[in-house]
Amino acid sequence: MDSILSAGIDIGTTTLSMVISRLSFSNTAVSYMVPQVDLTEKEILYKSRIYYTPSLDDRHLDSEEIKGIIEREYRGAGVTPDMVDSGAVIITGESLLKENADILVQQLSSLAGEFVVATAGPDLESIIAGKGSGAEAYSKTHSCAVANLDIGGGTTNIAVFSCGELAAQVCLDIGGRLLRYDEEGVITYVSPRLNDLAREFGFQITSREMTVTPQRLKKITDIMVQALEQVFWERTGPLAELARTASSKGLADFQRLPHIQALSFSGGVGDCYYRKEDDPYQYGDLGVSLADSLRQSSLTSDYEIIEPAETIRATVVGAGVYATTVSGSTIAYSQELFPIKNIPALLISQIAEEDAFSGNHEKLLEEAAWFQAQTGAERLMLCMQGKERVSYEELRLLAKSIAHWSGSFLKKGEPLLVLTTHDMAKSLGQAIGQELEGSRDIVCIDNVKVSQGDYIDIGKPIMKGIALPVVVKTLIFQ
Amino acid sequence: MKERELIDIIAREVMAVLYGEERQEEPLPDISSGEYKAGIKLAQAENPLALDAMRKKTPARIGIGKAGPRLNTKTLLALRADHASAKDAVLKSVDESILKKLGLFSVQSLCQDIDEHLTRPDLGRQLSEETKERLLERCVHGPQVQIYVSDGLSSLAVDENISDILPVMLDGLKAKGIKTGTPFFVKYGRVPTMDVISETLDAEVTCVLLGERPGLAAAGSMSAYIAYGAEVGMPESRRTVISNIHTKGIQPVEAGAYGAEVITKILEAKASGVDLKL
Repeated sequence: MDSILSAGIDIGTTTLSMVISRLSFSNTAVSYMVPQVDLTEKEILYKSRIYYTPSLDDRHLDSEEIKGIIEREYRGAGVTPDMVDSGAVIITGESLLKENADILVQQLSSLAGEFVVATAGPDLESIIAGKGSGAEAYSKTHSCAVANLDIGGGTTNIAVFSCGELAAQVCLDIGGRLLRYDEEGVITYVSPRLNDLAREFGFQITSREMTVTPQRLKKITDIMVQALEQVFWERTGPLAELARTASSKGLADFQRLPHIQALSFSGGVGDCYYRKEDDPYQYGDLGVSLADSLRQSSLTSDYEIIEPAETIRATVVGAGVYATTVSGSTIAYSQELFPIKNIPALLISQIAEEDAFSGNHEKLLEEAAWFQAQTGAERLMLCMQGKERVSYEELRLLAKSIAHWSGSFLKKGEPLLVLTTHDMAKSLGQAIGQELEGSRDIVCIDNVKVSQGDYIDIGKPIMKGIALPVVVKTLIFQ
Repeated sequence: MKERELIDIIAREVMAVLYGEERQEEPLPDISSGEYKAGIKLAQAENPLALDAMRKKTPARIGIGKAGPRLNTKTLLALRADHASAKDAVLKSVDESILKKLGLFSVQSLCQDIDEHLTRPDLGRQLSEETKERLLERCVHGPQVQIYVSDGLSSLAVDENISDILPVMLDGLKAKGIKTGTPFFVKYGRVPTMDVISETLDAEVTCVLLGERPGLAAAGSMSAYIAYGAEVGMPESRRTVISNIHTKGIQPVEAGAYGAEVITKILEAKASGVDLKL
């Protein structure tokens, strides 16, 4: 199987959409070298129209209606769930805060295909939207640093790419639908996060009592843009910190960024930015005014502004096309156990890894036990750096440590899952296999980047079994 | 490492004679090191970001600047250092203690010395009758897989990689229940020496782990050449090769595990080289 079908579903604060794409893999190494399987072609086969995210009330999404839309769109695309091998369901912004969001994502994940994963988490979405918009590709072809601001209803997801490499990402609670009003201009909803910002300027917004005017909208959206300006001018700042989404890692990486040449905007507000809507009340929210404030901000006069390939669909295209990566091409697995889903990643400490390299597995046990107590995880993937250069002796000792660890930690019959950053999975898998003598299944992969708190899905083998498709995700419902 | 220390001592002595005692304290930069080369960079690049991204993708000397029509002094020094490493890799002998530790006995091609090895590839491909008899005496006959080691054009490649690649490869084949022959070392060997070895020992598959001709980027690069039913005079297209086995390519343990898998596939397909579809 050299190509797979991937589905992307994005349930945002304001809108809902879906894409189906085909991802093709090939061996990019010359014949006399070790194979290197890469994702070489990404073709979008079907794009749904953009729906308003249906909700029952302020606290509940209309899950029946959402499922109905997805089922209809799958039929429209001529795709059945069993044809879909990979992809992501992403739920973002305010939709994420709805009480039934987690159940809905789980239901959708099974409805959309066995291997479609529920991915959420603000920083990951920033990256996915940045890739989906085309900002990553632009930074690569033009050899420059580009920041994409995906401004939706509830959040602004910012990702910076330098020459095609991710350099920083952050998420702020700034979006077009943090405030909504009816046709008379009476405010019907205000996000507490918006009032957090307003408090800094000595005012509060109350729904049902206040009405909007273009000047009032502008006052609010100017404050939002000021927070965004702080991200780029000062690379930090009180407003930016205040607006930061609670579960976003924050602005630390922005301090180390190279000079950013260009900005692009995506998401619903990004779309308004390029289309230039005149009526500020058009959507009954802040979107048009926010786009207007952006146009007048110093960001647009001092940075080159580019229009990305995707605006309102950036996140869904990102979910469908960019959520899937491919493992290294020299890996080891004892048999076809795939797909394996929702495996939490345990990143072991440097000390535990050094100990394991010298044949001691005590710290591995300690850290895994702690991890299990913290997360309640039944299974886990042991993730380590490994080494660029490993000696045979070190390899044997490491394999012994891991084998011993699996003997005392994993249940009987539970497969041993190991991931290394450096390219050494095949030899490590082989060496562990020697230790275990077939008493347990092994999956040992490399070349996948994970962070603490990530979850991993592994799909069915591709390219005659030499590589595995992998989705690394953040599950924020626990 | 011993050689390195020796070179440092000689360099210090020479510096002491040239500059007097006071210069001895200052550590000399290692002009063959990655850090030294990273410092050789175009000063006023139009797009430094793009230059860095390109330099990261290749070991080639790009974006290094120039002095008029010529190379900068630092570039020239680094080039000379790399050239010296390359020459050393060819001219030195394989460290006997490494071969001893792995339990490899040595035989030699028809070449008598390094000059002959470099100038007479035809002799490097052949073994004397005595050598063939020695192999028959000491090795398992008719193995499924005969693995052996040869210096080829880089003894350094053998020194740096063999202790890690060979045992992993043997482990991998053993785990699959494949019977391997007695490994040994061939001095002054060429790739096609494997053909006469295959015929002599009647091996189903033959694999030589051999030092590659050094370039200016990697002096210690090893390749594994593998052939099914290798025979003297067969076309080169029947060899499967795994190249670029070194720290900056594929590391030796990983190449060993991959090599064991490739050999397994060759045994199953009873074919190698272009006849084998991996």
